Amino acid sequence: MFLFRKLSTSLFFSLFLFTVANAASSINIENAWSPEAPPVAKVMAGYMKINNLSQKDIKLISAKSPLFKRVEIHLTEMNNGMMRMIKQDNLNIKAKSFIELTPGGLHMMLIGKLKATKAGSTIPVTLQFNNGEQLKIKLDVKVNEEPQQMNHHHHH
Amino acid sequence: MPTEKKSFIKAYILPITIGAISLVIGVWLSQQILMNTNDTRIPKNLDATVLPNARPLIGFNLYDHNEEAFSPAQLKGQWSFLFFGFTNCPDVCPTTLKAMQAIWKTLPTKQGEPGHPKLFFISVDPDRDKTKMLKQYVQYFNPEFIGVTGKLDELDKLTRQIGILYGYDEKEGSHDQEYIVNHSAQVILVDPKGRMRAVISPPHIAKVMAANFQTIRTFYGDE
Repeated sequence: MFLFRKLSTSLFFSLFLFTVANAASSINIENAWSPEAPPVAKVMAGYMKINNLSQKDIKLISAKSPLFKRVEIHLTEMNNGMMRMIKQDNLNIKAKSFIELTPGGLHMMLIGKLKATKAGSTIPVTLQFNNGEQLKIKLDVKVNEEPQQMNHHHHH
Repeated sequence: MPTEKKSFIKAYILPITIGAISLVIGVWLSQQILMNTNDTRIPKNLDATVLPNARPLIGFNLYDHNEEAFSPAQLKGQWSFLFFGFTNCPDVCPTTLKAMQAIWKTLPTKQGEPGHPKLFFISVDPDRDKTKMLKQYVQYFNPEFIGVTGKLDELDKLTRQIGILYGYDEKEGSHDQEYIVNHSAQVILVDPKGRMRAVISPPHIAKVMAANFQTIRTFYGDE
């Protein structure tokens, strides 16, 4: 019983600390990942869900990674079957809303790979928002076996 | 009056009968012809655009990742999937090649067996995609996949026949090696006679594509 109480107290405290640490951020990131690319590939993609928890619109204005020369935000747009990558100067995330970066849609383009990255490793990325917040995240490099969640939904 | 009526019937009954009979024969004949040639009928319930009249692909001289010729001859003898892209493509190309990889896992045949297809990933970015790296790139997805590229005018000879478009975004400088190539993302299915048979538009869902391929294969046969 004593052990339980001790455990729950420390659990409570760590939960409390966790909440405090995150309270400063009006943004949180879910499911940040990057499909493993062929070792010779010089570019990779980053996907994630960006939640804006605040009452104001927030813009993602830049991103960088120590493993790549530069990071850009692109939108894959299909026009008459032609895929176009449209560079986005920023990404607006509406108040109390979210934006999703998914294969075949919005994505982070990681350009000029400096170091080999394999499935199981992570890619550190720093996101800069227009409210001054900076968020350090990690993309999980994964082997994407079933690339079926394209943003164009398909019904049968 | 009765004789007049009789001759009236006589005068019309013969042409009408002949007309009716020739109509029946005509319909029957055209059905026979359609069934025998198979040419303009297409399999149903597909998520792919099948060309009723397959279009021969001719007159291009490219090379594969082993620096062997890739010309119309290489498209003969097996079903082929063609996909156009470039290796510096972060989103669309790997996603489609992953789908192709998944399709390959479901194929009922093995390499070298009748009915086993080939996949040609054709780079429209020959400046950066050299054969050695192209080979490593495609074989990461499946060791059977074949990378192809060539001179731009030779690439155009093939892409124009198919209706594939591509273009380069402005390079930021003459030494900019990180430009983007925009390109059509359709997968093209070529029949064993080297003729374009179907166009599969994105999203490329492996299960659907695999099933469609088997339907088309069964419908047209492996020859």
